[in-house]
Amino acid sequence: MGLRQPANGLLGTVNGAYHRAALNGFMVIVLAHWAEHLTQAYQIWVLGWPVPKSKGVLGVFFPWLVTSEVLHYGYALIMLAGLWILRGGFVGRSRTWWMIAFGIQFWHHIEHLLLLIQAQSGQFLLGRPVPTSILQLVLPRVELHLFYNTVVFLPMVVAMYLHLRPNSAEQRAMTCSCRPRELASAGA
Amino acid sequence: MITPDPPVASRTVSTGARPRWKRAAAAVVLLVALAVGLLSWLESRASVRLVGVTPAGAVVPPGPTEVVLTFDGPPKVAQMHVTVQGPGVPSTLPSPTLRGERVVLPVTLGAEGVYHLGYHVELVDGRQYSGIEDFTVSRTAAPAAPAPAEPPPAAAHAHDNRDPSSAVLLGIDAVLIGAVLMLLVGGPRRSWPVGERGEQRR
Repeated sequence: MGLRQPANGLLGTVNGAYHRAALNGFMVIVLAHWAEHLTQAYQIWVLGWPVPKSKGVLGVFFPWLVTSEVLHYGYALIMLAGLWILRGGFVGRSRTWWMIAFGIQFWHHIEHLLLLIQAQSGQFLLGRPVPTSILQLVLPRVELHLFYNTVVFLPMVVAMYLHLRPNSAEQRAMTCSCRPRELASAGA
Repeated sequence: MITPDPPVASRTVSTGARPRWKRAAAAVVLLVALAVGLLSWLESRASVRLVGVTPAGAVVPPGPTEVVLTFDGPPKVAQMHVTVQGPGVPSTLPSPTLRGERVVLPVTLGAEGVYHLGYHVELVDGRQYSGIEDFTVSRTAAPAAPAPAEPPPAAAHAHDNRDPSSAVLLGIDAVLIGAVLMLLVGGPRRSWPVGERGEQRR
């Protein structure tokens, strides 16, 4: 495994000295999104609220947020950008998993773009009565939003674990601030 | 005098104590989670709840003559406002009325298209319910069933639902979230024993 040449400029900084901090910040955004979903689940299953009223924490105060395609597309875009921007710090197995997450998120983002366009234009896919994503055409009963977020999140977590628990070859190839301290201090 | 390096196999780096701020952050996250859960639970027991908005988030055939907010008990209403915008709906609508557990706005929804239903109900205990729901009137829709307590969220793509697949996915997500939290709090590996060939012992 060869050493990855660190990028210059802001991207290089984010993927170098501040990769750990940037990764933490990105994960806080991701976890905040999941916190909303878990709150919704708590409202539905534990509190017994009706599904349309179970809108998480923000949705209680800003109900329009939950049904806003702009918001969902925005989050999909942030996820896509974060996965792309932070990819440079990953090496070896963790990079493979990270890019798998990026690939899935790219498609997820396309689906949200389709939904956004339909919501804005009022023209729905194949004459459907509501905005419809492509996978909804073949898997109408699947909870797509949750499914997509799960299949993106899973490789992200694997990548995070492998990035923070690298093997010796990956340790030597790492140039970011996530590199274990022994190698960092030894300059290996 | 040059001191030889210790054998590679015995090299480790002290992990040190976990920074205090990380423990504090973990405690704050835990407290916030508990507080949100407790407040939600207390709020759910405080008074009657809105359990249904009809029609909302649904596709219905032309013909509904009213929109209804249904509570799980007779609400003590301080003020209430309900309005509907859509094709053929007059700009001035009558005031909604309270009929037992239901807040009813008489309005004829005859034309096909997308309708927007806005509501705001304030109870005497200060609790408020407000929201904007969309629904579609279409001749291709199935005949309307009795007013559902929980209309399906069809106007926008759905999120969490009561189907088993959502429960399974949320279970998986909860485990993954726990893993991420451990990684965030634990941080990168701080020390590892290195074998004679420089390979990490796993």
